[in-house]
Amino acid sequence: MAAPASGAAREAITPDAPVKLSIRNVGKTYGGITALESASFDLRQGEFLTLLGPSGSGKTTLLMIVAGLVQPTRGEVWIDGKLATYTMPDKRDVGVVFQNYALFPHLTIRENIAFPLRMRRMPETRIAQEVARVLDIVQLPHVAARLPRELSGGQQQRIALARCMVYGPSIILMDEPLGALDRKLRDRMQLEIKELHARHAITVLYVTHDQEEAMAMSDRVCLMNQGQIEQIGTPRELYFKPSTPFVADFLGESNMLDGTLEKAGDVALMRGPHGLAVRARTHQVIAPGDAVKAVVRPESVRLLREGETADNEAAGDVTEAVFVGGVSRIFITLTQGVVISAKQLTDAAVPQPRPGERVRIGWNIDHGVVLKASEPAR
Amino acid sequence: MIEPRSLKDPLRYSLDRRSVLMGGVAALTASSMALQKAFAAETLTVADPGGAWTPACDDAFVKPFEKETGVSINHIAREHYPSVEIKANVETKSYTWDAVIATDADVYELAPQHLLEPLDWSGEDMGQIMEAARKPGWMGQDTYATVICYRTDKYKDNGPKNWTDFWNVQRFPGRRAMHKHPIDTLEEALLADGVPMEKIYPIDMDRAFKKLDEIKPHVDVWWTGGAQTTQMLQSGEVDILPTWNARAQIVIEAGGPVAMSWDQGIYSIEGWVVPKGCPKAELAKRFIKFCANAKRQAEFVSKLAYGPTNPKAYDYIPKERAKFLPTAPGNLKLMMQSSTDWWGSNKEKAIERFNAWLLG
Amino acid sequence: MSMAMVEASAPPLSQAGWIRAWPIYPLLLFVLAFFVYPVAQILWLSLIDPDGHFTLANYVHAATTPVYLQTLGITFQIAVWTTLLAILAGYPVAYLLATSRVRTREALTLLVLMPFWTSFLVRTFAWMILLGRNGVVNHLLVSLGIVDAPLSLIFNFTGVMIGMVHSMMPLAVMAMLSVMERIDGNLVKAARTLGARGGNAFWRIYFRLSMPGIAAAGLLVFITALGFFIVPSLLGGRQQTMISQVIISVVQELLNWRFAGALSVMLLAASALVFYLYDRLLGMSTLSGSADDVADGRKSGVLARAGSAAGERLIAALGWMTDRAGALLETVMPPRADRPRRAWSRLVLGIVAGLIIAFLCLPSLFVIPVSFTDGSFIEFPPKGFSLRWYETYFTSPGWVAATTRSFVVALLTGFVATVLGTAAAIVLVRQRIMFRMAIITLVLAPLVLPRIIIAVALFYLYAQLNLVGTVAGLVIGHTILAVPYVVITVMAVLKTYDERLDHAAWTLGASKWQALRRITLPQIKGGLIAGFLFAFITSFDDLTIALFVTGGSTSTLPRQMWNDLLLQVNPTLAAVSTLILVFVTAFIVLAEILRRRAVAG
Repeated sequence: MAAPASGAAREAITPDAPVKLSIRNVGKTYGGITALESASFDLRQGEFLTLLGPSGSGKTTLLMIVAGLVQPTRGEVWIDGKLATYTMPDKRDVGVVFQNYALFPHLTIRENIAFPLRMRRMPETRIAQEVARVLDIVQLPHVAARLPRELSGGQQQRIALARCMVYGPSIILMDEPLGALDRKLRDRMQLEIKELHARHAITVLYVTHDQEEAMAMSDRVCLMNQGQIEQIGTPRELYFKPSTPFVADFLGESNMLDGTLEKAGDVALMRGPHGLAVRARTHQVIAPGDAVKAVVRPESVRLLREGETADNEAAGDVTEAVFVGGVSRIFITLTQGVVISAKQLTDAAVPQPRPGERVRIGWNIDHGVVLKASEPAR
Repeated sequence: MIEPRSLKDPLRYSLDRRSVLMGGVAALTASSMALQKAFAAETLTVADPGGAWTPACDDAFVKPFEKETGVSINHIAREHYPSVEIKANVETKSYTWDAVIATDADVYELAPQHLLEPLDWSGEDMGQIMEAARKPGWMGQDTYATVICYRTDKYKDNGPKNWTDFWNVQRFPGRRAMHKHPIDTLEEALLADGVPMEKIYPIDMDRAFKKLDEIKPHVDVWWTGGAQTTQMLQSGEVDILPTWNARAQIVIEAGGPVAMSWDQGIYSIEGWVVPKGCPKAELAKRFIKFCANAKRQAEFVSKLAYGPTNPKAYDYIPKERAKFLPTAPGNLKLMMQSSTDWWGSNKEKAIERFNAWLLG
Repeated sequence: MSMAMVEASAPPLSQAGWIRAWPIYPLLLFVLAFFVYPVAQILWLSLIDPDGHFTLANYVHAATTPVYLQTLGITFQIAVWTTLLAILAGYPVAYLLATSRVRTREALTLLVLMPFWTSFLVRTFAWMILLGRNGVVNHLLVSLGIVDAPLSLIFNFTGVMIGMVHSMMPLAVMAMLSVMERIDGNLVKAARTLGARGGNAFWRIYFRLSMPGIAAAGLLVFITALGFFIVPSLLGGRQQTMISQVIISVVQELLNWRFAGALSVMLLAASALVFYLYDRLLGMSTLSGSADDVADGRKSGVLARAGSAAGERLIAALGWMTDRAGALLETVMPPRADRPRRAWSRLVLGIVAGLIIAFLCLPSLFVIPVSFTDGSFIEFPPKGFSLRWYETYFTSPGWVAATTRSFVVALLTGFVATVLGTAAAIVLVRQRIMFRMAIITLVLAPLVLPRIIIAVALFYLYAQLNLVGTVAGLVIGHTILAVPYVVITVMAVLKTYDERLDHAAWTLGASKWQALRRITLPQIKGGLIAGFLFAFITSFDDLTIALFVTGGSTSTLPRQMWNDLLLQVNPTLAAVSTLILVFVTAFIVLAEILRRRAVAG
């Protein structure tokens, strides 16, 4: 029923689109413990930005600061061009979908959705219309008279979203809204939310610890770690051009090769263990001699056939080959002693390499990234 | 929490169990002890009103009796109104008391219901007991009086002398308290209205309540218990109130600025009864006879400001002490006795009317 | 949601239902044998004339003499006001506790429960001394120039309210707290982000969801308050006479069983009517504090719907009014987007709740300095310093024995009541049994009836069973009074317990008994402890049963205090109270440490 995000919506997010939310050096300290170091980013009209990170990375704290439910220790929050750092939550024009939906258990679905409208003193007739309108949008017009606990998890989720959309807040904040759902339902809801976002041009700040969810839904992802922003960018940027080893490691699978930089420049040369040479792109300023890591995604690693060549080549023995349906995964121990994992589409016509078999592997310069090894200074 | 705590720490559980067991054992022991007390020969359970009564009674009667007879006495305090318990004792033939102190008013209820053993009135001591304290099933032990008590720091030497004064809020301004009960209160009203002491009974309720109407707005506290009056006199919560002489006596003896006036006091008598059919009735009667002795009574009232019922007791009481005792000749003639006859047959009506009047 | 599933999974009543319900039978038998049977015999007298013929004369007299109906009216009026005030004052305290961190909450709970450990006799006298004409409070007010002349704080309606609200508030706070603890904090936050200001978010969401707790607290307080007599007789004025006082006087002074029975039946009937209305309006399930049951606002009764509609409107109005006040405040102190908001409301809450907690602790703390007086009265300031009253206590075998016996009886009562009550509560919550409402009503009935009636009834029964004057007799009598509190508190926690844990235990091979012992009971320990505590206190503070069924020979602590109190308010009472306060506080702190270690393990 739900089509993937239409291109039209995506294109609406141009650098000219108005900034809906601006976070400037926002930090939060509880007692002596720093929950959020210093975060800055802008969120534009119609954009879907996801705060992604492991638990304790500060993403929920940041979301709560935007919602006005937590007061920051420092920094500024601007909403719709107005300073709102310490503005009451009810004056911010943001909507929040909570992790467990926070539907009011004593109110019917209709009353739950009507709640924000009543708070805005909307006339009864308008309220009825608006409630009906959003119930239609989330395709649950028949549950209006029920109580939240009489709905399934997925239905509750949609109602929580409907309750948020009904008053057209400037920004909708979602705190792990799909966390409590099972896998299948989650996938479906992802698409639904995505579609609602695209069709209604809602500005969304989303929190999750599920990287696939983040990649699938977001225009941009803000990856957080230990109270700090590691990298903000489109999912592709984060995936293919990670700016830190943490990003590379956190998102998807990656082969991480340690070494020292031999030659800087657009195409960097890294010397790994036992003389393994790796040439890859770099977008950081690194001096020769620095400790670096080369990151190569398993799906970029090809098993080279006779006569086939690649920008980077190495030889090794197959340690293990795992067939997992559409994809096969092969672990190769290089002659330099490093284990590399490769992932390729399973081809029924080609026999799978057997353990012990000597193979040649390779990947292109554009498929690898060289990063500074050390964590960025805090 | 899936892992049971007991596996980790068996000691804790066994300790718990042991303490429970010990509690059970304690309970069993205690209950069997109580039974023993009830059935062992040559023990007597006597119950008095408690408080200061108990030590005084202990010294004057209980210990000497134990010494003389070898009987061991289980001396306890009873509850405020003993009648219900006496009735229950007799009706169930399960005796918690062998001899107990009851007021003349209680006896008025108990005697017609055949709940009391007739006492043995023979012997010299019993013969000396004053007339008002003699009934077949009851020997008055002491006399107590409801009198006017007041703070001397408020009224100096010119305190209120009688109920007319009590009603006179112009001459004796100050906070007043009265008993939230018609007994004595109705008499006080009539006395204040000029009815002579000997004409109080039968009480003219209409007249009494009419007089009470006058004082009603000036009463700040309606007290319900004697301890309350002691506290109020002591702290100066009120300046003037009617209460039992012994209650005020406590404050006077502790040096509090309090005095009382015997004039128009209303006295009652409390004394020993034996529940009907009590298996230790004979022994109990012997004990009661022991309590009639003038010398013993004199000792009793040396600690407690009650009037002895054996007039001969005053032979052994110093003059200084006698002036605080209701039955001292000088005091007794100023007072009247509360009528158990009238109250016995009119109490229910009077209480009902009094309660209604209070609410009005 | 899980709650709904648990409810739905409760097996329907089958033919074997009455067998499955066996754990409720011990309590039922107990109540039938030691409450219904003896009390019915007494109350039955009210229908018989002295010649043994059936008569309604006693009822006609009670109903046609205005003073009795008036007194009944006053009783209900006092009970209603006590309930309202105890909840009004208890709510901020419970709210503060529910929204504080665990450690803070535990420390505050200790303070809230403090009145429990000071005998009500001592507490009541403490109020007389504190609030009297020349009392500490009036002294302070006058010397600070707040008032010109001392206020009349006691011997009137105010005095009764102070005494009764003080006695009842800990109960109210604990009952409300048990529900508040389970309100999801995100709901209020959600309301705020949806545009509700503080007032609307609080009233429409938090308050609305805490209503089951208010209802449970209200009922327990109301019922307990109906039976009060010491407080109104010592702190009340001319017009504060409660029906229990009248019944006691009819029993003790007039020995008129027939009429006392009629008055008692009237009181019971009036209470049952209140009970019925309560059920129609709020639903009896609120008693056990399940937020979900009450959240379900759709009830069949017209009364219920009218009530809840009016209630919702009231809540909405309160929400807007609070917000209006807040907005007004903001015109004075406009909020700024660039400055952190001050938690003014939290500060105000802290001050208000702190004052109320101080009120709760005041009499208990008051007796401590007083107990060291050298004088012979409880007075403030105490005269000199001495340990003589402690010496009196420790050198008197009577006092020490009474203390020991009180602890033994209270512990046994707590144990028996907890076992019987918990077993019954499990059935009442988990099974659909017949006469559920009737059973709960029956279990609660001993709280309504004047204790003297129960005491006398028990005496006649005990005489046949040779239980007069025994510890066992005391424990049985106290258990009858204590078990309602256990049933209600355990029902409340059981409602929050996920029964699937038991199902899991069964599938893992545990027998029903093992699952109960190793899974259920440890999980609902909080409720068991609270129930035990209430039971312990009921026994520890009981005077009437102790006075009556022992005849005075098996003395308990309140009984011993009563003896001492008859002639004067002796400072020994203050010394005893101080000792118990210290002992119990130490005991609870120790138990708490052990509990924490157990939880940590």
